[in-house]
Amino acid sequence: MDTILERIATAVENGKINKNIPPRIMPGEPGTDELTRQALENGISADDILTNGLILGMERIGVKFKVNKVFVPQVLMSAKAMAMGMRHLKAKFSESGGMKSPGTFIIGTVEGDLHDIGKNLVTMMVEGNGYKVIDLGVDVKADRFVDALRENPGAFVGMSALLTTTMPHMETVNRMLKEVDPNVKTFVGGAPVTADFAKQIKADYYTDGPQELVEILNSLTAC
Amino acid sequence: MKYHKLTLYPDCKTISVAHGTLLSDILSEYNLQMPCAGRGVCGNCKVRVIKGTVAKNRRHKAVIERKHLDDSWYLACMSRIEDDIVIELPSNDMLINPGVTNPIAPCIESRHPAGIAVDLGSTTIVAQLIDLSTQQVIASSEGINPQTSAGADIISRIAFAMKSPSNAQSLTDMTRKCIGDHIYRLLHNHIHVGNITGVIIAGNTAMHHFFAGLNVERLSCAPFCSLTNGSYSYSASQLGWDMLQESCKVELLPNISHFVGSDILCGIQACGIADSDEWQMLIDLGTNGEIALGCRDSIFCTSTAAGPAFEGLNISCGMRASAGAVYAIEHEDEGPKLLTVAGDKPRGFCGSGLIEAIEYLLSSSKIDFTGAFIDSETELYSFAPDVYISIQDIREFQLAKAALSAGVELLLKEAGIEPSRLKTIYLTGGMGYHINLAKMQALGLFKDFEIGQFCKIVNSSLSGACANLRHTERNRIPEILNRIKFCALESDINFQEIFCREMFFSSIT
Ligand code: B12
Repeated sequence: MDTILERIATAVENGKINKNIPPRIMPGEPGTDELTRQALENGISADDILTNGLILGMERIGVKFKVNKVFVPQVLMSAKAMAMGMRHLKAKFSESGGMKSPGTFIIGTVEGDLHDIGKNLVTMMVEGNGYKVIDLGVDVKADRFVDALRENPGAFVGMSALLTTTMPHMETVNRMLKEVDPNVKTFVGGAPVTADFAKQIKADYYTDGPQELVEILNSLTAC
Repeated sequence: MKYHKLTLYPDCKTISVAHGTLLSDILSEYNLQMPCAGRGVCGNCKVRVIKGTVAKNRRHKAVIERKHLDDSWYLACMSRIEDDIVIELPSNDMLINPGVTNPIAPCIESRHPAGIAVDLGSTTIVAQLIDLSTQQVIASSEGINPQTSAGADIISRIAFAMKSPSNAQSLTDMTRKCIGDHIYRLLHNHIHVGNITGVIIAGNTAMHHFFAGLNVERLSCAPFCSLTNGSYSYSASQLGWDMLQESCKVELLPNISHFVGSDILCGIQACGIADSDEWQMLIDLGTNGEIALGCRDSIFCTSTAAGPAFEGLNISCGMRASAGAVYAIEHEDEGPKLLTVAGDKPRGFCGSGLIEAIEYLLSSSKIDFTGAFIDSETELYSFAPDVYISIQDIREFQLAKAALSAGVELLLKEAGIEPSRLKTIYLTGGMGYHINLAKMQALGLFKDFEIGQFCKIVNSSLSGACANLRHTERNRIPEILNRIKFCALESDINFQEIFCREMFFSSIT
């Protein structure tokens, strides 16, 4: 029999929220809703559940997404399962003075672009790996990225663009961010964006998906 | 390298030109139109040689004769400069006046009035010559849109046009020239030019802007809007289409909105949606995935930006439906049997072939309902040497399918109509006509409808453009436009939820 933390991780990985939702996944078995509550009742700390249960599950789905074993909807389901578990943990965290996060990630879709599904997916994965995410939404003007960085010194910044014609805005945003804080680490992504383009506009990182992004964030915050 | 002096009259400008240079390569800067792209067919690049000699072979002589021109005339596209020469460029009103000289030998001595309908598609341009008294198609001409040289999708071309005014101008010029070329081919051997009463052009909003030479900047990013959606009227001579009578009227039809052009307006007319007592839907299975839903009372439309997967593009082994394209797959005991265009050796998949390939993988349990290969080591499946479907191809198809399904569902919701209430769902676009409906539904696409509700229509844009050659139909456009409402999907908060649900081949719940 797997430990309860392992079962939580599996539930997140499979997007199992509770016994009945979704019905075709792990039919009849409990989801993050039941399992997280049970773990807390068993006296496991909220930190432990988060790191060795929920986040572990998100990491696993992220890896599977990267190698194309699962697709967008499954990541979304995992994020929902994780959110359900988090709901139970939140109460505990506020008692113990908040959860600790390795860093803050600011993200938005650049000006002129309203595509947000890729950005939302990145948000879920980064959040799912324990980071605090400030989602500025879509059609975000350069000033708003800059303001967000000013309000959150030391944060990482990600920009998303899905249109060939809105991609160039990333260059402006990147330049303005670097003026505010020359050490800020910037990330760019979205279907038409390439590593070459990132280099050309002097953004620090390009990744084609959220998993690599999380790995980079983890290595940046580890040191 | 030997050089020669080329003097242009009446400008009296002299240029030095390398021996053997094609005259048309130099004159292309002098606004010489070549509807036939320099193939020595149309006679539009004719010049008169006043001094010096230019070799003229038999084929060259024959064209000049056919155009009823005397020996002093040469086609620039067939003339190499091998001597110092002085040439005279025809001023515009000197160009062949077809009504008088009748350069085209008519083999059909039809005296019926005729018209030309053009579907200016992003990837393909189709033109048809229509006998207006019988509504019959006399001739048809089709080819790739030359704009593809500036990018496969519209946004890339808009980006190209925004780089410089000359880029934008070149898109306009090449589009007009290409359509002129098609018209020339239609008329060739077919009809008295004087009988052509008009030309009607339909296309999406970007095509409309490119043809009219409008600034496309506002079509490039949010807040999207068009400079104007209005129709444009030209005389043939304004467009340099001197194969037509100068007075022949050319009309570029009006758009529905910044995302939905006159191609869909024509589709609405061709399917009779605006006159129907019952609800009907038109779905264009192309890159933009336009959808129109309506009846006599009101019409809703949208665009879902599905991407080019349904056209067999952006797919590892994707191709147009030309020779060697797999268009269907039969299940046989030994494995998949590939049916190809022209029966050639399989070279790749066109849109309908992509659907059948993925359906084959699903029904033979190579992939599961989420789109993943069941054997976890597999990343692609080979149907023939160098003809395979990769996991990325499947994902690309899933995105396109989901975007289209979400568009259909949200539009139905906007109109408050149940799927079962639709009398007919017309499928059009590159693949619309060849799609296997049962296999399409097996992949979960449009599964809320009954097979019997579908009706395939080859090219609804072109059919509608033909109909608009009749004044009675054309005159109804403003009133029809008034009844159409455009719905924006990007502002719909349910899009992501539906989009994700529709990505799988069957429901997870
Ligand atoms: C869904 C969709 C829409 C939806 C958007 C809904 C929404 N709320 O987002 C709707 C229908 C509204 C839409 C509209 C339009 N769309 Co659209 N759309 C798509 C579609 C089908 C899928 C995009 C998507 O969500 N993919 C799934 C997500 C998960 O993937 P992703 O966004 O690429 O994100 C991944 C990575 O890129 C990366 N990533 C993303 N952001 C970031 C950020 C960082 C920092 C990092 C590190 C990584 C990263 O991680 C994600 C996960 O792997 C694509 C076609 C396609 N095949 O991609 C067209 C597409 C993007 N759209 C396109 C166009 C042209 C439009 C429209 C202009 C035109 C239209 N209506 O016809 C409008 C404009 C909308 C606007 N105002 O901005 C074109 C763009 C072409 C180009 N060369 O630029 C595409 C490619 C389709 C096409 N070929 O024509 N669209």
